Amino acid sequence: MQTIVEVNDIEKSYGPAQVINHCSLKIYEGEIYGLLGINGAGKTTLMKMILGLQRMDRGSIYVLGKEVSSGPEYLANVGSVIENPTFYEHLSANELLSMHLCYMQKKADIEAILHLVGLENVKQKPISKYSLGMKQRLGLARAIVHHPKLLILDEPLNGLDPIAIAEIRGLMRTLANEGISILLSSHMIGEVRHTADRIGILSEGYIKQEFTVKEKVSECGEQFEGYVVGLMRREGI
Amino acid sequence: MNLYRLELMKIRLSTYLWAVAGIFLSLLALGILFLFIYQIEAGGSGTSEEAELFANWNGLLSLTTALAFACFSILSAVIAAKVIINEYCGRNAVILLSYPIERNAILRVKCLIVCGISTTSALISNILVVGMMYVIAHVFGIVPQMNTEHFILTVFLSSILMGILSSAVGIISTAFGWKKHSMVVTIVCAFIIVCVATNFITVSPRNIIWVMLAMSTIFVVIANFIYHILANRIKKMEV
Repeated sequence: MQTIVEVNDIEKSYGPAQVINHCSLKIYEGEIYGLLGINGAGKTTLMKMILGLQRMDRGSIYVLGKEVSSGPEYLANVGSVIENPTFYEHLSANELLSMHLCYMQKKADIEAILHLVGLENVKQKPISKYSLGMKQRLGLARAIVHHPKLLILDEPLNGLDPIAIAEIRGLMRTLANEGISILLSSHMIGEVRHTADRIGILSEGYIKQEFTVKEKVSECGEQFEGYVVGLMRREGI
Repeated sequence: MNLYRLELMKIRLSTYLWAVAGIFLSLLALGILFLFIYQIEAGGSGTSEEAELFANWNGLLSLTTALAFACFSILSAVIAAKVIINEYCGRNAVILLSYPIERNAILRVKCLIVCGISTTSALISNILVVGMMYVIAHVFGIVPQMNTEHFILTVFLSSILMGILSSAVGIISTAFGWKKHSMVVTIVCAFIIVCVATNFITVSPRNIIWVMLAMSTIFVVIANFIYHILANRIKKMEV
């Protein structure tokens, strides 16, 4: 399986606080990798470093075979939703996505993407009129409209209703089956369990535990969440 | 060209066009008032020292140009605050820096948009205001007429230099707004610069072109220097 993301022994500190410490991980093609960790564990920082939004103090990150520090060209194949997505609120969803495609220098069927995220009926409305959940869906649409090979989603299900959560989970699975790799972060075990193939627990700045969901679920059954919480407690995560 | 179109999509251009129209009308109203001040103050005899600035076209041109410079500098700072400070210092920075485009290329386009809108609107507005004042003065027979060719050239040159100066003020004030991550600071800074710089335009009405040329040269050099500082910061920027 092709390696899409390769994080090698990276470090990052903000002043005296070491946020990422000798962290390494690999994400393979078509895989959904769930990044679990408590608030402030460094999940968002790690994701931002993969996107080139934060610089690392040490180590290297390769995305689709290109080193992140070599330039922003690799971002044409990366889609992301980091924190709460922001938009130009006077634009409509249609205009926003066509603008995004121009920046990404790609072409795609905007209508199909809007249909996929359930925004086809409001595509001409200004984004300022959207609800929080609709904005979250639009953020996801923006992340996938240019057909990226890697999708980085930082707590993408925040603010969504249960139906939307189920739909987005299904969408992530479809995308992974099409060969898109997804890095998904959350502090909610249930959310990651139902979506990810592999889980990495980020603590003290590095991936302290890594396991496949299938194996652990067959091992622990319904006790999966309890197992992960216990693991986090034992390890002092 | 595509980047220009994309960056223009992000702002509501119509808002700024309305602002330009408002500034134009205000300047025109003041310009017409200036034409009649000399008549009221000195009865057209040319003896009142205070009214001297309103007695000839050099004085009137320097007054209207100074006022236009003040207004369009603030407008330029407002656009710069919205287009540059709000984008890079706000939450949009995450998406802006996630595009596969060199960071400096986007900043260059943003700065050119600020300069383009400010310079063009200032140039057109000032030419129209002074032109209309000239026509009104001709119709009413007030203020001695001057050589038309020389007048047109002076108005054109002073207007274009004023446009360049205004856009340079917008870029210069961005440096202070960037430091404080604030749109308000950008605009206030432009206001302070304008308060000082406007006085220089009216110092010597006869040599308005040379005064403005000197000011433009200094301001453009400073603006260019600030652009390079901003470009460097954005290149190393972390969000």
